[in-house]
Amino acid sequence: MTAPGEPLIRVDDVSVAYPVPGGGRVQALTDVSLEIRRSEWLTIIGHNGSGKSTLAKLLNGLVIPGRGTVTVDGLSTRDAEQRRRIRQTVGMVFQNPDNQIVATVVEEDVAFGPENLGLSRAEIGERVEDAMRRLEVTGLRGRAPHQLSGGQKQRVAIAGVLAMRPACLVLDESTAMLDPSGRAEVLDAAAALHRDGVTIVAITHFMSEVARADRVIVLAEGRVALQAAPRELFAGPERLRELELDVPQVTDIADRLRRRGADLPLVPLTVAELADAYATMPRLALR
Amino acid sequence: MTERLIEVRDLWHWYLRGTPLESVALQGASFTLDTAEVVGIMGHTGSGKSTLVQHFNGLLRPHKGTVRVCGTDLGDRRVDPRALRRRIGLVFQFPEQQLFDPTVGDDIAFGPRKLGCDRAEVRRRVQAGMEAVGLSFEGFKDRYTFGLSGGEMRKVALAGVLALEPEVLVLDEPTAGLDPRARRDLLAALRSLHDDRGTALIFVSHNMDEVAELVERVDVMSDGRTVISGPVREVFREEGRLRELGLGVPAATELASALRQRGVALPGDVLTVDDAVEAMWTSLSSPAA
Repeated sequence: MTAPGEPLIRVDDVSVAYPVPGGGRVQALTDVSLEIRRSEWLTIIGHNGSGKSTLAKLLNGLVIPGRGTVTVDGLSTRDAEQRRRIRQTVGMVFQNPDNQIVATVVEEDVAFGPENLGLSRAEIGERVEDAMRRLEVTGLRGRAPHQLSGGQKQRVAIAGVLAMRPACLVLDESTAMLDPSGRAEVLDAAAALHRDGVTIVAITHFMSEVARADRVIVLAEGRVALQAAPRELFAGPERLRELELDVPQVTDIADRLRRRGADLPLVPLTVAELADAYATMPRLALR
Repeated sequence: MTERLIEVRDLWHWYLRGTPLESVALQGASFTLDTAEVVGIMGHTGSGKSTLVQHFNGLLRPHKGTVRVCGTDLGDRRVDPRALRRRIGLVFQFPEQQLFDPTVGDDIAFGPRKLGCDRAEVRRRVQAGMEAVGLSFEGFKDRYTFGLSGGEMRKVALAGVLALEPEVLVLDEPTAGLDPRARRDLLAALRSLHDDRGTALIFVSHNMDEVAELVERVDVMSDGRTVISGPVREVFREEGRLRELGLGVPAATELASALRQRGVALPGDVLTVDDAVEAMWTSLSSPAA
């Protein structure tokens, strides 16, 4: 077992290529090396086709690298016998909640994973209760999936993964299909798990979600193009613009005011940060 | 000349009607669209947005209420809606899942061929459709659809609908899952379709920033009804109400209200990044009150 702050997952010099119909191969990742530390929140951004989802699927052995190695808590994903353990360590939640809910009732769906681990009945019950409580879906236990909102479905999907007691949760664009309140629900749930020490790997196109991360990795054309803390990343928006990525709107607003000469002291990541900084600024034309 | 293209009044629709699993999807929804308008439809998941728009080209028929599209009453069972589908182009959520031809050019040509266009006309429409979404004709027509990125596939699917040259384009969450560049390109393509060709757009979205950027008028749906309707600037003034409905306001609008709460006087409605920069700069450079 690795300790907090130590790498939980190591990706060493990994390349992945997929065959395409009609012959030939498409290179998804090239020479990627990175570490995911225990209990950190890592966000991965990049264009469609930059290799983000392939990287996510490498982390629990859904994709095995053509070259290089991925180790999870010391276990190589190449070792088929360890894959079951690896998938308990690293849980995945995908974009479309309708593709992830397997049972007809919420409670049974959350129990599906632990039931397949061969645990005792009492242990299963305890894990299901704990996971439902942490995702605040206990009140929905008897509901059918079609009676749930998008945010509720995604929280049920996360509860199902959490019941496996993973050290790491990978959210692969898990908020892409949700309305604003659903997105907030899922992000708040992930933040609560992160506070409890769960490692979060979040893949997203929403720059406003990047602010929650401890560290951000930008993928471009299958390679790691940038690695930084969010504030550091958005402090140099030129590099992001070169990669044709956005900065969060509040960061953009602050940047444009600063270029006109406003003396804003920081790179804001949230609405509240910018509002606080602006409200306390001296007016330029004070009499 | 302005003409009413779509008029929906007191529309009701049930799924699995007459079974124990019956659920009501629309209960008294209304909607209008005039020539060359750009209208947004917002609403939380399950509010009935997708069910409503599937009535616009006759994929669903009204269970109760009126749906008139281009003068045709879709409540009349004898009406064949197929002719309408040339005039009203519907782009579903994740339309790239519906690509089926091995090559890009053939996939986009499917619609015009079905319309009976000759070779030259098919080619012209495929080329125009691809250019409208920013795909180079020569560069992409012979590419394999399944070797494309997600954003490219989305554009191919949209080009396939554009090749039908519809008067009205209905887009259900067209930017969901797209990266920032693909989003920007797609929104720019939609704007020029409207500006250059006068195509009317119905933009279904729960991305507040994009709604603020693209549309003139917006309807908000909740529980199968239209609950707020008006010019986009007016609708986004109702921040509290929108939040209750599971929605929000654009980031710039949220910032403006956070500033006003802190006692900053900002002029006008703030919907976009441009609005916010102007209002904040004006407030900053004007003498303190």
